[in-house]
Amino acid sequence: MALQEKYKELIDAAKAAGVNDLQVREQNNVLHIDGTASSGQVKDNLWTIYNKIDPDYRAGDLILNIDASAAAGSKAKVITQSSNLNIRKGPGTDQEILGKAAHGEIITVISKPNAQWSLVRTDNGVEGYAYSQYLEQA
Amino acid sequence: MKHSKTLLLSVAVAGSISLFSCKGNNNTKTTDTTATVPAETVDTATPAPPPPPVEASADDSLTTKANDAIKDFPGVTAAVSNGEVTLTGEISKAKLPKLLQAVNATHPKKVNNQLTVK
Repeated sequence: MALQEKYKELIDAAKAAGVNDLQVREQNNVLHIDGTASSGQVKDNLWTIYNKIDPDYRAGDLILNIDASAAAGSKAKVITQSSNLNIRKGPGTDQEILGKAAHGEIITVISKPNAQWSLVRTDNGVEGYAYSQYLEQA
Repeated sequence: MKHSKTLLLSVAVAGSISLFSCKGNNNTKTTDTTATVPAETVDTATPAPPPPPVEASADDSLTTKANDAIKDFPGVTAAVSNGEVTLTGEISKAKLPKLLQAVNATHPKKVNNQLTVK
């Protein structure tokens, strides 16, 4: 319960922002906050609050997992730092690169086979798997 | 030996109506018992091992996911043990949130951030 008190501002902000499927659980002295945000802005805002409560995320007492990646069947914007996003044959960085999507490019999310990877298609017709952290609801 | 057994079996099958069918039955029983022994050995061996492989595969898949997550952050290393991810190396303050967002999404039990933030 002490951890929920420590991160109260964060939990309240997640509720206020309308984070879907919000789950707050404490397990082995680590607080797990999971949910799905409608935009990358909501997610970034929650991470800013996290950083304010625990500077540089050092305490190791919170797992904040807010998924703001584009949903299956929707358009996604590539939000890499600046580089191109690899599109791979399978869901893993050990998989062959089939093509790339440019930073800022809008691509289609076909499905989300797991929490980390999305099956995508570019307007150029390249179809494969991209890392979901770099895809934001367009 | 195998030839004679096959012969006996074929005789038994061919003359199943005749008195020879008794020998055929004996042969079948022998086959049944030999088949049961390995099956039981497998059964008794199965209950014990399961827990370790499950633990190992959890860390294995977490290692893969953690390495995927840190791939675009050169200078950062991730070590996985008992469901915990420990991050070491160097990173800029600006990139730290993005790195931790990716690592936290891999469903670890805990993240130990031992990174030097520049």
